[in-house]
Amino acid sequence: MHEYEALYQRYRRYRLKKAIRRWGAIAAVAIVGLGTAVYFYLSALPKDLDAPTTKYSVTKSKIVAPKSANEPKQEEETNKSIRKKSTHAEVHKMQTYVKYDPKKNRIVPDFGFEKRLVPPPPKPLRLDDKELMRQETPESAEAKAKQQQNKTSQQKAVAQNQSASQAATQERPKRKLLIKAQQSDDLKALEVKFYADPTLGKALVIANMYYAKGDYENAGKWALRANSIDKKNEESWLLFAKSLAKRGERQKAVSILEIYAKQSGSKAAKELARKIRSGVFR
Amino acid sequence: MKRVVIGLSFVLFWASSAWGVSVAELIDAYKRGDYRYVCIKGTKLFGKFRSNEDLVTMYAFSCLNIDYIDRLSVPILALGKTPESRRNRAYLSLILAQKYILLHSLLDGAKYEGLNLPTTDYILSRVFNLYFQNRYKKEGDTYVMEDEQGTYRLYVKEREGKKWVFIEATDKNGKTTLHKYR
Repeated sequence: MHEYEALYQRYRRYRLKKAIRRWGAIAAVAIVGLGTAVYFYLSALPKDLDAPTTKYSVTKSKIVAPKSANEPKQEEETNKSIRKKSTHAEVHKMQTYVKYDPKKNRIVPDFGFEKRLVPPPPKPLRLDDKELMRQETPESAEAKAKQQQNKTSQQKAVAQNQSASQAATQERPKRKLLIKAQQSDDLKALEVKFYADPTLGKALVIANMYYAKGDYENAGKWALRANSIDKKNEESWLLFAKSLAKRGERQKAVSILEIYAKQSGSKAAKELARKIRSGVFR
Repeated sequence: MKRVVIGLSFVLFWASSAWGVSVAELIDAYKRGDYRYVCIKGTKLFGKFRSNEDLVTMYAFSCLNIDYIDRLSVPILALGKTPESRRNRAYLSLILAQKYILLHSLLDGAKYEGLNLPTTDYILSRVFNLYFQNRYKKEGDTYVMEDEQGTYRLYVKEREGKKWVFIEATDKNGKTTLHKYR
């Protein structure tokens, strides 16, 4: 029994030694093979990694070059040219890395644009718009003011006559004290700003101020100016129509609003037209 | 009611005038030397003058004058139709690149060797060259440099949780200007 066990152990040891020897030999062969493969692979790699194209061109020229009687001469010539190229590349490399001076590669900005800085032209206006946008001269303004004064004096005279006749019959009614803010200077300043730089916002603000003041003629004029800057602006259309209606030209105001409502589908314009037509807006 | 209308109209007018900065005003400001105004308002109006390279260049140089270098990236993209604008584009993009390389090096300790960038007359470019050519003396955390145009002190400071790079430039007449970048 014991002899059998000893024999079995000896047999196992023998198998192990045999396997070690076999696998050891296999591993040694594999290591040697891999080592040689790695060695050949590394030696086949281009030494100058910076210039792989030259390597490529060498192999390419070798493959492509036609075989002829002058083959050795051609090979020599190609080799010479390759050497020349490589030396030129090396020199170039030396120049860029060693003799580099940033001061020589200076970028100087071009300030020529400063001479060409001209404000962009304003939005082109139509012929009638140009007429509309023309700034009122002081003479024409004075003439208008005189006309208005004459009108008011005539109205006052008529009113005085009427009041005198009424006074004879009735007692004089109590007068209300009306305080008006002085806006003329502000409006003039706004107008000056508008003529300097015409914008829709400014024209609308001026139109609104005239409308609030009760000067419906000027309100309409400024609404028209705003409209000439932006034809699609709803507020300018509405303000112009309101000014017309306030001046008594109700039919004209309604037709303008209807045209605009038809074009744009504006609900506000339709509503205002309805109000003016029905007499709600006076 | 009248007063309300008048008040509202005034408010409207001031609001419209505040938003309605025209390109003509920018040109006037540039000619006056108000570069901050041109750069800040020009950002809002950029869409209006994007197609005009002269105005884009004016905006870019205004921002450069007040050290708003980050804003140069937009005009750089808009320039490039003429040789002059391409030169200015190269000039501006070089400064932009130099700023970020310098900031990376100063803030993160990144090392760059053999930098072959061109240079410009802008202060950041001068400091950039001196720094990467190792032509400086270190005094604590400050790099002190000198060239033919003056002396420069380069240092990093933290303000409100953000790191800023400061350049104190002193010219030959003794005039000191402070430039900061982040």
